[in-house]
Amino acid sequence: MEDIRPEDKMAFNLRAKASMRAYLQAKSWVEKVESIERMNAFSKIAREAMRKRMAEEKAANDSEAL
Amino acid sequence: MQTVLRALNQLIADGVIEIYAIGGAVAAAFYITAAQTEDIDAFMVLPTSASGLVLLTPVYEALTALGGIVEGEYVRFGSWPLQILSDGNSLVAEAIREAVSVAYDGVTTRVFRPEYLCAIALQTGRTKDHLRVATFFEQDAVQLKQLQAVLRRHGLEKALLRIALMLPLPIQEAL
Repeated sequence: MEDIRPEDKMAFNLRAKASMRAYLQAKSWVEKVESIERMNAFSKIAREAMRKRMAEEKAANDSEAL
Repeated sequence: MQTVLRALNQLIADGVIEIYAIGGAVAAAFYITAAQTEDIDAFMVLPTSASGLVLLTPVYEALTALGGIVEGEYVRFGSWPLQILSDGNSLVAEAIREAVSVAYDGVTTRVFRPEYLCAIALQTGRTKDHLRVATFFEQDAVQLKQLQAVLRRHGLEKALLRIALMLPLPIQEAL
């Protein structure tokens, strides 16, 4: 893999950040609120999956203990 | 979200409250990139009793009649819990008065101006509030002079100094 000079890497990162910021700022309020709603939906799924996994692990540990 | 805003507008139309404005992360998303939040903060001048006590019950009852479901301190409309917050201090009262009218997908509402969102975040003072203020500066979404004027009126200038020392903000020279 080709080596990248640190200053090139920094310049690339700055350009990437600037373009991401421009993209995000161009979004309307409605689009941004919709993205919050999606984040919340994903968080809910993740929380439920975690809860289910913990319950399964607890059940497995309990049955081992018996 | 529209359902919540329509319900809040209906509170005014029905004379339950006189004025409200959206604050917190949902209002911040009007100006800066979206950050996760699980509720909508509606700040309002609440009705008071003859003895001067703030009355929350008429607001909750009206919101319930409009389809909201009370869950603890929130009133849920669809996927959005709505938190009712009062004009508990002079900064919030001023922020409500000075809020700007905007439209959300065709529904008119009012949101706090950026300098008030930052000032209230500084007053609240949690880590996520500090980060929000930093984001306002990073995205050129707040004017330093306007924020300083608000902070000066409410004795919060030192809070901004703390932020400037903590984060690489372009405001350190100005302080």
